[in-house]
Amino acid sequence: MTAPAWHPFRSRLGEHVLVLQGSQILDLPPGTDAADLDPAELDPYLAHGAGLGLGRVPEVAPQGMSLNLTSGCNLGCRYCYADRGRFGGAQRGAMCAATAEAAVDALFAGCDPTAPVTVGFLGGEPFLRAELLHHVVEYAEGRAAERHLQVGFSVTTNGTRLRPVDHALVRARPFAVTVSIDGGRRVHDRLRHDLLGRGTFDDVLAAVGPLLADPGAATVSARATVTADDLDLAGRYDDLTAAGFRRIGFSPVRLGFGALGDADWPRWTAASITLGERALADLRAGRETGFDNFTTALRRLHAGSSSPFPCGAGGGYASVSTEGRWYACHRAVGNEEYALGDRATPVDPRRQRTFLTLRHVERIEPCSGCWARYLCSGGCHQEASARTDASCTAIRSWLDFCLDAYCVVSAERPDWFGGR
Amino acid sequence: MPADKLQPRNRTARLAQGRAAGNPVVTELESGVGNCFPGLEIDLRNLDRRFFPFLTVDFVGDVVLVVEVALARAQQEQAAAPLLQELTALAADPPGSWQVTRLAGDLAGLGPAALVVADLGTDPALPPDPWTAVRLIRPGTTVQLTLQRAGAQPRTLTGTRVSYLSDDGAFAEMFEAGELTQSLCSPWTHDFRDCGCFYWASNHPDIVQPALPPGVEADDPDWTVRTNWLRSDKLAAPPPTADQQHSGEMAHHEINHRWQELDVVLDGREQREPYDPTSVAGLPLDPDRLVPTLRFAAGVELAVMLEYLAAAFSIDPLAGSAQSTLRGDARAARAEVLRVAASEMRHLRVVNALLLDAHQASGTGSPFDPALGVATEVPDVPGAPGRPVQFRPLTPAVLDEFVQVEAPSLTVDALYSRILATFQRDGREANAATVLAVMAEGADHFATFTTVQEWLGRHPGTPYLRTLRTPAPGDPVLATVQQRYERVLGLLHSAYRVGIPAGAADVAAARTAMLGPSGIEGACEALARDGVLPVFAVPADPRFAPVAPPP
Repeated sequence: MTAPAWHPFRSRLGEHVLVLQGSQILDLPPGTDAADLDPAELDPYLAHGAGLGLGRVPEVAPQGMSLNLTSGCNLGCRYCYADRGRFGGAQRGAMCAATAEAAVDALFAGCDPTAPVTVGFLGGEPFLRAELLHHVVEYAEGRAAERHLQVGFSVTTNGTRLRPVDHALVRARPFAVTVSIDGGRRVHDRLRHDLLGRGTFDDVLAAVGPLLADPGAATVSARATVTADDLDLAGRYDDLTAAGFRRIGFSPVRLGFGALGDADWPRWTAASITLGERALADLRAGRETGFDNFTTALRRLHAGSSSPFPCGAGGGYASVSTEGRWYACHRAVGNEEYALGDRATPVDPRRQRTFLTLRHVERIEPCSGCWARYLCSGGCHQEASARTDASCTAIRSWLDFCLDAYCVVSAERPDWFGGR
Repeated sequence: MPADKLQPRNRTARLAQGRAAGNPVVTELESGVGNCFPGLEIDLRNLDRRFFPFLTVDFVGDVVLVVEVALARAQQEQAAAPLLQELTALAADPPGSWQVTRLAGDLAGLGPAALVVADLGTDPALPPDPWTAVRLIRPGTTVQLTLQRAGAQPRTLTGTRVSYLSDDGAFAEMFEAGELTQSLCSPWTHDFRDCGCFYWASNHPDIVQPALPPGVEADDPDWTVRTNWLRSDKLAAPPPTADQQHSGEMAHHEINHRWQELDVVLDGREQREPYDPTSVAGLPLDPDRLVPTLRFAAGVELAVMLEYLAAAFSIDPLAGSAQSTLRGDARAARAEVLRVAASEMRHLRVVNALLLDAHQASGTGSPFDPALGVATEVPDVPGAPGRPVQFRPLTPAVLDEFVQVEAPSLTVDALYSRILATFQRDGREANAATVLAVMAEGADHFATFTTVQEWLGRHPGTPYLRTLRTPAPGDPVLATVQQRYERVLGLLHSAYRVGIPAGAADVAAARTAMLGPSGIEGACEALARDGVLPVFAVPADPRFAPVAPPP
């Protein structure tokens, strides 16, 4: 079968075509549909897409990195991919300042100095090493100033350990704070326990609440991990909104405890689209929406984002373990297949090239024949083994909904895209 | 935009339409007003600093100093031995040691002349200063310089007046980045305020339509006023119409402080909102139509070149009295039409280069057959039948037709817009850029002809025209011009067959056979002086058979 180069779709405005390379969205003339289309009319768009070089494996140095500050966590969530930071014993102890500084130096030495560079913090729970975190921020800003780099920060946290001094730290600079919180108290406390087995919803709100009220320069968002037993996304969304979050994203569990099975994916799709319709109605009415999966999809469609890779892993992004080993992804600490290098040679170009070549979406079956291949790009490398027809159908259905919604929003609220 | 086509919706799809919106061709260098002292786009004096091969001079008042000797380049490009010897000697001395004291060459308006630099400015029959004298030296002719240095024997250098443009029509590589603008005032400084009567460079706005406030339609009479771009009150609604007194204009220092409030102007209107582009590319051609369309385009270039040539020589350079506006206008019009005709010859070469490229890509192995047949017709707007090729004096009606031929988006431009779209579709970026340059020059021709209309329109009854009879093709009086024309075609055929650089010598020979008294130029002028309009017949040689538009 020849891989499709374009995908016809229908929106509330009419008939359209998505030219896959470059995610170029075209309106068909009123009263016609894809059957009437002379394929030669697509030639300029296909040529433009072909010129984007999506078939190539890029040679890029990391522009962003996460530091695994510790292998410890004060929570014990059953679905944790990181085994609370220990990665099944592959990561031990905590990062020391010298390792963190060396990683920052290596990132800054190799990155593109004309683009912003990001230092992220993960774990375990990074705020268990809050002193180191503060130190690295200060160190990175000093080094960035010397090199005239624009540096930003990110942290993924369970949200229970933030203190006023931490609030001050993240408010004072561009800091993306992602709080793992699954929904309202009932939903959250079911799975996100402390080590004594108690729910942590109130701890999170107590520690993060002041930041939600006054985020300063930080961007605070909720990331809800969704297990198969509760797919009421709208209910979770409402509870998180009531708790004060303005940006809310959902991630389904695909592997291990709580993972969605084939029978669950249609329900996931329905729940996503229900919430997506609400978000669309908000935008059409001139309001904002906090449904992050939806707004991100719309902005990416507007820009024509398309990539043969689902994330920056192994390319523009790397993760450094507590011992200072460089990995393509924070979810793969300790996995040799994902190892890029060590302190002496953070990113071995040969390893990087092999890693990316093997994961280019054109090399992955059945992705290489799918119309959504440059939007979904095969999904998380770590979760590839969980890919099924049902889960792929869910992604395509969601993308078709987002394409429809994009056409509507771009027609009715072009201002929402910020004139870009 | 028509609704019967695919419409791009998101950002990447819009970019696929080819050219990003932004500066129209009138903002490009070649469309500048060309004010030359100092120029507002470039300072033309900086071109003439390199008029002599491998030398750079500075014009310092009435003195011409040698400031640089490109000895390495002279050796690399194998300059003639005597010249190389002189250059070597000059290079041994510090910059500024040697001064040009005498200059001999073929000067426009003066003919062959030997000028003592110190005499310039003293005799009204001579150019007023050394720079003007250098400007008048015709490109490609031989120049002899005498150089002096205190305490040394004078030296004499002979070389060919340098052409400032490469064969592609770009500024020659010898010019360094920034060199042509190095003596100009900076944009966004208040110097521009002092340009009288809105005489600004064309890429700096002066009189504009004001930015539309939200909710106001573009045809609202209050907001179609022609207002001063530099107006101090940027909030006035509606803004006042500009007047000759520059009322309400920002003061000098105000410009320095408030330049960020000066709006970007596109389509003649200040723009404060994201600009919604309209595409310039036409519909791409089917692959098998590209070559026939290019061959026809070459034929059209040749056809209009011949028409322009005949028209140019119908203008009497001696019309009116010596200092009259009529004579000035007639001479300027003639020079401009001839310049456009020469530019069409460059297009002919460009189109043949594109054809050669397509031929080589096809890999047939057969020799390339250059496109040197005259088009059977000059195209009209798409869909309308063309008109026959005709040789006519430059009457107002004929000039109207020339304007139409060169008008953006019509006739010839429409032809190239489809060729452009085809190359863009096929990812032939270099070829697309070449076509864009040809289209930009077409826009320049259009502007030139409308200016010529303005000049000649001042003289009712066409007193600038010679009284000429139109001979029948084959009339013996045409023998010389026809023979020179066919010789040029023959040389061009040899040159285009192999392309540049291999064909460069033949292109140069063809250029010589076109220009000057012994070229087509001389033959045309001789005919016109004798009361005969230059007319060109279709050559018998099958290589130059007429070419019809592609079906």
